[in-house]
Amino acid sequence: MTDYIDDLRDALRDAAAREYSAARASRRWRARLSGADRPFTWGRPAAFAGIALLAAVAVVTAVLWLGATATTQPAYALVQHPDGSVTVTVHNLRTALTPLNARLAALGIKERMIPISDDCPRSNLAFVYTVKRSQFPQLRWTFTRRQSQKYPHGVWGYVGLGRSDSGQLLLAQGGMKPPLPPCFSSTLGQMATPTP
Amino acid sequence: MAVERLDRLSDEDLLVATAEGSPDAFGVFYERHIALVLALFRQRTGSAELAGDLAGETFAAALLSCRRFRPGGPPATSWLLGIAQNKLRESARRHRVETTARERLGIPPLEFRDEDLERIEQLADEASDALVLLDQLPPAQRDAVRGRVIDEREYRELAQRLSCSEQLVRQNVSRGLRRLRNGLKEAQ
Repeated sequence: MTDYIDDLRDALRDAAAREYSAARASRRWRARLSGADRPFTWGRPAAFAGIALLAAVAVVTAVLWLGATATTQPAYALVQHPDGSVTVTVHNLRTALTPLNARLAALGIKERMIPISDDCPRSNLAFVYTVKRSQFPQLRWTFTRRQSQKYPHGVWGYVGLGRSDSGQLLLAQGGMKPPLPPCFSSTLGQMATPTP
Repeated sequence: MAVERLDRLSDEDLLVATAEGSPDAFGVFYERHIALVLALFRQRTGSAELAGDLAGETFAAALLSCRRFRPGGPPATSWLLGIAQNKLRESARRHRVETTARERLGIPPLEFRDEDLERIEQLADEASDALVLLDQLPPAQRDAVRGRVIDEREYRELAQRLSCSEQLVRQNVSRGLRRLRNGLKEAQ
């Protein structure tokens, strides 16, 4: 019986053989070693199942917008699709997140938008990174019910948004369950007990 | 070549060997680092399934990039974790796990069963030692390694941020990674 880790290794090995087959003739690295070569066989054959893990997950275009906000523009936009998924666009980081979370909760979407600060750790629990504004002309995500159901019990999907001290966009995204980093703790209540 | 001989090669040599036509070398590289990559992804996503999926895409991308890897530059671990970070970032941006590299290599989707998730959890637990060890490094090395390897910041930027020279940052990254490797060997 094979498992995912071994199947993946075998698949990569096969792919390496295909990808670099032309280079086999010149194995300069052999000179670094001594002794006769002998073939190596992987212990177990590859066995692939044909179901794409994420095939059912809706393809999402995350085109983000942190650009200038016109005074007449709403803080966010939320569009419901016939299949139950929703597309959210954040126009105003400062004012959008609280009402947006309430809407997401009301729609049964297990995702939350949470403000993050430059104090959030760049490793450990928080998956926070700095991006250039030019890479994200729009802040837009589509969330699906099915996607929400993929999270294990107690884990919530989140999108963290904020600005670094130097004015860059801070973005965080993933699944998370308590204990949360201190910089997320103020939003813990929102994540754990969504407003019906 | 016998796998035990390949096992004696450094990470850098394994990547070079892969690009020069030894698929087994990449297998050894994979075996050496899969747990760390899984630990990183599980920590970031909280999900063994996502961690496994992202790890698959990361190693596929690493395989495709082997020919561009140049020994003498950043350590192979840093290079691999850099790819992992990119995949995580791209997947987060698209809100789905990237499959580009696997598709390009013709690697079919692999199915997860409960046993797979248990093994991923187990491997990730084992490698979490590395992430714990990172926090135990001397502050200068920890910040340098985290900044360079995890956050992928430029040496120049790190030097400014940490108020020291670029050379010192490079030194701290190198020493920190060496210390991590040694710590992991002891833990095993």
